Amino acid sequence: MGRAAHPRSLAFSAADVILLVIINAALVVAMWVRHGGLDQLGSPSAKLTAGGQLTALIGTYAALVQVLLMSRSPWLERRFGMDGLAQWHRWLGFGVTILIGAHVIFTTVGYALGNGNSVLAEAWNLVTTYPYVLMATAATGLLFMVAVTSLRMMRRRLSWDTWRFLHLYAYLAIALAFGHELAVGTDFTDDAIARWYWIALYVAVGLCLLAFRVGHPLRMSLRHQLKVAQIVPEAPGVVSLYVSGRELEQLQVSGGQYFRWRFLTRDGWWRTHPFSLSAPLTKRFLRLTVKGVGDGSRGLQGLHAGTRVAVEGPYGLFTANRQRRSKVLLVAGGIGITPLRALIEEIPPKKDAITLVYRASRWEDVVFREELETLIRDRRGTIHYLIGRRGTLELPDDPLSAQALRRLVPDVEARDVFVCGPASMMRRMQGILRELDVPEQQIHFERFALI
Amino acid sequence: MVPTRAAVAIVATAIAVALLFSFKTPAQARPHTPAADVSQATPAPSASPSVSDSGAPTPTPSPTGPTYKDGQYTGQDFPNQFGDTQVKVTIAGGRITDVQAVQLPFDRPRSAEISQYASPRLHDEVLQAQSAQIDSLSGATYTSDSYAQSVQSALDQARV
Repeated sequence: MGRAAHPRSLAFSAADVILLVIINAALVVAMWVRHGGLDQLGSPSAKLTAGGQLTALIGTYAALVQVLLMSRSPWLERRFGMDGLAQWHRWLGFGVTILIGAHVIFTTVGYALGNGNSVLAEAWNLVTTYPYVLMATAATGLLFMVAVTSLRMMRRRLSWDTWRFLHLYAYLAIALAFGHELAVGTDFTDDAIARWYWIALYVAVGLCLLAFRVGHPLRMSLRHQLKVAQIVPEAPGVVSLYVSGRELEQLQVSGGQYFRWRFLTRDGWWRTHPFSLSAPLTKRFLRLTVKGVGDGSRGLQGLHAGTRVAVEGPYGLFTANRQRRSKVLLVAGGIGITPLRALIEEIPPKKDAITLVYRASRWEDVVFREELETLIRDRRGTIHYLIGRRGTLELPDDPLSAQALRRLVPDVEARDVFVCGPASMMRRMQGILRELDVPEQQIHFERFALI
Repeated sequence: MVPTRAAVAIVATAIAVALLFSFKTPAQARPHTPAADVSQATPAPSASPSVSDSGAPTPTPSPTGPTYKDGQYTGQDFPNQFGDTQVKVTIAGGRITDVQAVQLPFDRPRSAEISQYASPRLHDEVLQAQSAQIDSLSGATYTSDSYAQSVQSALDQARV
């Protein structure tokens, strides 16, 4: 079975990618300097105008980087992981919004001062007489809408579908702003090299999107012709989907990785769901196991045998080839057991190599119990179940504490620790593992977030 | 297939984008520049002032500044990154009485705006200074410099 390339064996490293992003940022700033960005720092008007140019260039460049981060490019995902990319995307997004907001203010006020106009008159002048500036104004509005709907406060009030739909307007914003960049951008109107370089940045990002958001899923789906074969209940609200298709053995997937699944049903074809495989791949089927959480997953209950499935992937760094030590501790919280379950068979066998700590609030929520016990017994490992709600009579203290883990797994700092579960549990585990002196590079998290 | 709300939003967006694309800026409604009427780089002074006058004392010679022969003199074109800048200087009674822009950067709206703003101010500055020694206008540094250079080249032709 194929395995994703080991991070250390990749042709270029994460540092190379960061360097590439920084070099291009420097080129963009150099463009501004070359066109007199620094020479103009005389009067307040000139300073503002030059500042307006710089914020526009950097802000737009950062927006392109943002799109690139979300292009599902495997070359990025293998180096940074999807949640690392998403985190950067989020922070860059707020940076872009601030920079573009500054660009609008600096440029309008700078021009107004230079021309002796009032700011309002100048704003009107800009929108009505400068080519494509009206479009760019609409783009700014869309950008702010996307940013505001992504604030945590707003995000909580919107369904995932609504937020996602509104988020796609960021593409439109980038497209609408493009015209005025070339038509009135001081750096581009007179300099063919700068202009072509700028266009090349857009083309490069566009090609990544096309290749990995369109081409890749289409190719995968046509080749493997996936269909839901069977739906098996595992626990209250939890089902396993068995997905069959052609040439499954050709899928280069490791235990612990996930695909983005698109179930082609009437009411759900526009969503993708990031779900791990919950069992190693076989020639006949892929298995994923899903709990009815979030508006996306709940929609899955309407699936039936025969539903066509499109996939993207595999993604994820939560794999056995990240293992540094010969022994592992697997910590599962609730449905977070799924990628860990698929990981077990890929841990090199050795006595006592696997300890599984399975945390759930009720016994009914424990899935794969027989499967897990057989697998782990065969590998002479150990399972500890920590069941119950915290703060109840039977479980007054948090069973997931540094002391408890130390007692259950005395050699924890000599193991690789793979954790998957709800966000709150993962945060607690981070602190606990630090307390237990588990080295950073032996800790592996898989976050279940809908990105 | 697609929820109604999403379908409505997509259609509304498409219409809005179409409207945005149909909007044209008032076809470069820029002030007319008399760029066409003079294009030689170093034209001879206009014929109107008689050369025979040259020996006669100028009516109101400025005691300190240089004196100029009466006439119209077109300065050289001093292009900068925004476009061409060229002026025509009128001398009457040995003094600079008028400066007209033959060419100013107008090919882009931003340049046009700057030129429109800068032209009368630079004109006044030259008349006041009676020379090309003028201060740069903030926000129009390039245009000011080129303007001053072109004035200087016109004055060089007019020098007695």
